[in-house]
Amino acid sequence: VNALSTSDLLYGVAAPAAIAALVAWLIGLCRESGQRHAGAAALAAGTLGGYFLLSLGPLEPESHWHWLPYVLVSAAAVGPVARGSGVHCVERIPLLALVSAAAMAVLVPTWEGLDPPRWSQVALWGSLAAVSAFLLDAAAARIAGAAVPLALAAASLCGAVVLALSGNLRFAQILGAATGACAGIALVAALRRGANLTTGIALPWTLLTAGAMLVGRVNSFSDVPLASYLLIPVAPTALLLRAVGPMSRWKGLRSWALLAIPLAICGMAVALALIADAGSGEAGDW
Amino acid sequence: MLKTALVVAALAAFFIPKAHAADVALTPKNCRIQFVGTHAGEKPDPRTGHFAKFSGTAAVDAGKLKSVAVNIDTKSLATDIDRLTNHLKSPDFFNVNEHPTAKFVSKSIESTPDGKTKITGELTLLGTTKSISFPAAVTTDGGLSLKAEFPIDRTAFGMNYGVDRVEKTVQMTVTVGK
Repeated sequence: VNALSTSDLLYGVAAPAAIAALVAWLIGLCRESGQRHAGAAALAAGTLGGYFLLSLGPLEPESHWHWLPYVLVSAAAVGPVARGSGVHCVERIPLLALVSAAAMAVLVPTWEGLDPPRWSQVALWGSLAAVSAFLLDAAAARIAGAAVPLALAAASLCGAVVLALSGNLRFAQILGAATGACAGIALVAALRRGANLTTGIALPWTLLTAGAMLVGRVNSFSDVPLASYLLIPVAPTALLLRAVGPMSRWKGLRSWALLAIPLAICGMAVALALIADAGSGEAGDW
Repeated sequence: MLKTALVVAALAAFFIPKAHAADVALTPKNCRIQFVGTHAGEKPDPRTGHFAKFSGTAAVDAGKLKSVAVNIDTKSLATDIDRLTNHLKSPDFFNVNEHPTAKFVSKSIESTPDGKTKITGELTLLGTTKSISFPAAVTTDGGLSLKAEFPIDRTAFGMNYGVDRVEKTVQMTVTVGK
């Protein structure tokens, strides 16, 4: 199968970027509440735009992974609300945990003989998503500008590469659309200096990415290791170093250098997948 | 003596099943189920795959094929390229975790004027059952021998992924016996 076609790039990356940029710009024009919803809504609109333009799945779910768009939309609605003024951390944590567990419960398949068992997969991926969403949420609320959406775009792209190496091109295309959407948000964030358009983006991005990696993992027959799938949704949480702690006081280039940490984690995930894939014969189209 | 031999022959004819009414077990040892997919566009690069595990029965009576039924273990799908095998097993194509079996059950088998046999039956793939018909060269002298080559439209069974990259039509080849 040829790796990339023109329609993949046009409908699967460029269109999601344009849709996300438009949505982020329009919703971001509103004050505090609008900015809180801008990133989440733009991510959902852009990714779903690519999903349906490329006919990646049906509107009516028939299979476990068909719930991914619904998980994304639900998380895009809840994520910004959890960041609303007056919502205490003690309320936010159980809310993120509950939505993460519910998302993984619908995404983990109900096949007989699933290995590891279904309950342990829901627990593993649900915990990973909840903790990652909480940490990324804390970082995204404190870092304005294009840094967060750029890091999310890079992580989404690396996730797409891991999924492609695992033999799941459709799921790779879903994260390809998310890459475009995050790039579109980054563009608007760069143009609108000072505005934080990604305050509520943590939950939808984390559940989309963790969900895509989960369905890719259970449907893969490759040797790509579990670590490659797990590292992708975790990687952007390293942005928290830029928001809290001693390194948060770094300015200029040193501040941007902190972006290298999530990129390095994503790079590790891709490298592990490439090493596993190297044993599957010659590289290239099949 | 002659009377005894006639009695034995009559008894044998009565108790021993008729040689021309038989069920033939279809297994990977005497049968091959193969498919060829091609890329869309100027460089078709056909790719051949087969199923390594399946079981079924062909009923032959009075020298004629009467019925065919096969259950295929889709997880046994194999090609010469590991990456392709992995991709074909994924939800992009055969979705073998969710649909671990495919099956074919004949509904009617009739001779055609050109001396071939037309087999009509129901093919279940990805949980979708569709009626298909295909011509087959069938002989029963010295054991069942069957060869059929026919196209199927993968999208009719919901295998819709990548129609701009991989042709919708997949060429099937089924061989029984030599």
